[in-house]
Amino acid sequence: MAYPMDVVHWSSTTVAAACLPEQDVEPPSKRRKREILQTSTPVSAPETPVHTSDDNIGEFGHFIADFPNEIIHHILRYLSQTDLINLSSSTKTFRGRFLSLVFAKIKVHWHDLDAASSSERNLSLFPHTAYARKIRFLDSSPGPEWNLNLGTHLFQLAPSANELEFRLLNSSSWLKYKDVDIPITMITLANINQSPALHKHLFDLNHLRNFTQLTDVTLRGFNVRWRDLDDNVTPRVKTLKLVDCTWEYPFTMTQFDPHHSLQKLTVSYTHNNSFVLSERFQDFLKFLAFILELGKTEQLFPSLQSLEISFSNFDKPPSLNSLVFNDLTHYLQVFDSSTGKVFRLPDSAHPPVLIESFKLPSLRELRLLGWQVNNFQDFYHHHLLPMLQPKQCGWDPVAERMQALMLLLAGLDSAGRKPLYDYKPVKLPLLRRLDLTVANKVQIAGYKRIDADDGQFVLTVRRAD
Amino acid sequence: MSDTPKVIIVSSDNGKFPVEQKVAEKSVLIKKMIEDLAPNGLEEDFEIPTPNVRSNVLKAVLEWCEHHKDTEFPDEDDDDTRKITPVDDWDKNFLQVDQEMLYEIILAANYLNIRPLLDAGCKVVAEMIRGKSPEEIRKTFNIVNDFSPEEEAAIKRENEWAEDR
Repeated sequence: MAYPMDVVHWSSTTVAAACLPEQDVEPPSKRRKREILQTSTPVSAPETPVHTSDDNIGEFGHFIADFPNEIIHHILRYLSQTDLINLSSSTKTFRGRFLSLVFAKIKVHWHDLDAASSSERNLSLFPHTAYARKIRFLDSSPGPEWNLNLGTHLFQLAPSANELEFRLLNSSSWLKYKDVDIPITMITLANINQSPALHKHLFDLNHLRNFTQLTDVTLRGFNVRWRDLDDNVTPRVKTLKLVDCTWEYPFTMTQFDPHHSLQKLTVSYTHNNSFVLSERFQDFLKFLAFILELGKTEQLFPSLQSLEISFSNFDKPPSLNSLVFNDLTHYLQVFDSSTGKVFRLPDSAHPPVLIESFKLPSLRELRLLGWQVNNFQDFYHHHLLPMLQPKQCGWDPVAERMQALMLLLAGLDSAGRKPLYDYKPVKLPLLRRLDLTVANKVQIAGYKRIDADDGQFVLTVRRAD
Repeated sequence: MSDTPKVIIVSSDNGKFPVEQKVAEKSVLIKKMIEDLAPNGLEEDFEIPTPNVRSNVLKAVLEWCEHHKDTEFPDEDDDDTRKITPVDDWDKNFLQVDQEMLYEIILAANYLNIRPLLDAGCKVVAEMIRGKSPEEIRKTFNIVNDFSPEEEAAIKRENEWAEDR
């Protein structure tokens, strides 16, 4: 029952032939039905020249209708959904050509779904929903949310859907009780309750336990709570986006990643959200700033390839200088390539203490948008460059520390054999792209590309204004 | 100058266009071909057929490549930047051609893999459509409304379901 949207298209010739006035003998209602039927089946393009003699759609009509699908998709990236709907409503040719794209995303109210469920006939009120890949619920309605058999309804409405978006006025806990027969891979939950009462914003990963195929989760305005999770049922999230979300101790971000599947994490805050001043958020940043925690052995975001932390509409956004990368203690890590573990040398001459493996080993892209940078030159030379390219800066804190470290560690091998470990700095070994948008007015010279040791590193710095 | 080997691009109707290698390599397709077929660099003129690009289209495309031979374009995979960057004035002017020509330039840019030209062409087409109601689209482009009033009403109802953001 799948209707892949790319294969369903009418060629202009087919449509033109079907729509010529003299052949138009059926009543409109019947014809509409046929159109729907026809668009549900892939129609192979006839081997006729691309231009037809149909003058209804004019030169421009052919111009658009004749483009191959890949170019149409390219053009549509620069247009809104409304533009697409309008285009598809201007002529039958375009209707046929774009129907599957227009209805690839649909929006419904809960009462629509409720009404449609009451009888078979009502389901026909939903036209073309078989094309739908994404369904957005326009409202929040506690009755149907809790009582409706969501899975069955979705299957009847849009069997090809793989993405859902809900607006919620309350906790997302009702989702926990929903069986979903269609493989939903993407879900967005937007909490629109203005009340500061935390229980109205509650989210728990357990709420999504029945959505076993989920890979993409977006949360807006939720308070994330942590409970012990049953690892077997937790979805393997690959992409996580948190907008204006808060959490309470003892939740930490890693609890979203029990399977080490997370590849992309976006954390963003808007409109002077005061959570960014909280200790929990500061801890999250420190955590990313590679401040070490002793005695832990778990891997932290081992699969994460892309990380974004952004602030928009802040009068005084958090300062990059004081929070991230300011602590050089993270250079005091030694990577043992034989075991894949990282060791940290304590201040005294005690043997190395096993600590957590190095953080973000797979990170390729880091986007820090809307931060405040107090002194860009200083930040660039003393924090960014050393981080990215220890060899090329005049003062090389890494080498200095590493040397001291190696001597100490070498001393541990009392038998005088070769040093135990293969030393290398472990900071973001794969990072190749850093986007930085600075919110305040600072002098930024044209820093664009830095060569990393094994290839090009792209650094993009923009000023937010 | 004449000693430097040229890349000779041959159009579908056998028009031959000798250009500097640098200009030809604005096309990723051609660049890859040269890399594969002349890995040690060009020693003599190098002919590349483009069997689905007509002479006057190829001429226009190469004019674009010549103009932009030193332009640095935003990163291929920097989707956001590419999306928000407006079409530059020279390109806009360059693409002020009849629809047939624009159509063929876009197809050629796609075939030859000249991403910035493809982007510019598609943006120009998008601008023709953007912000117009169905009626305005018909008016602007001389399209006959082939829907009956009942069909039009039905389409309006159907469209209520379609995501509009």
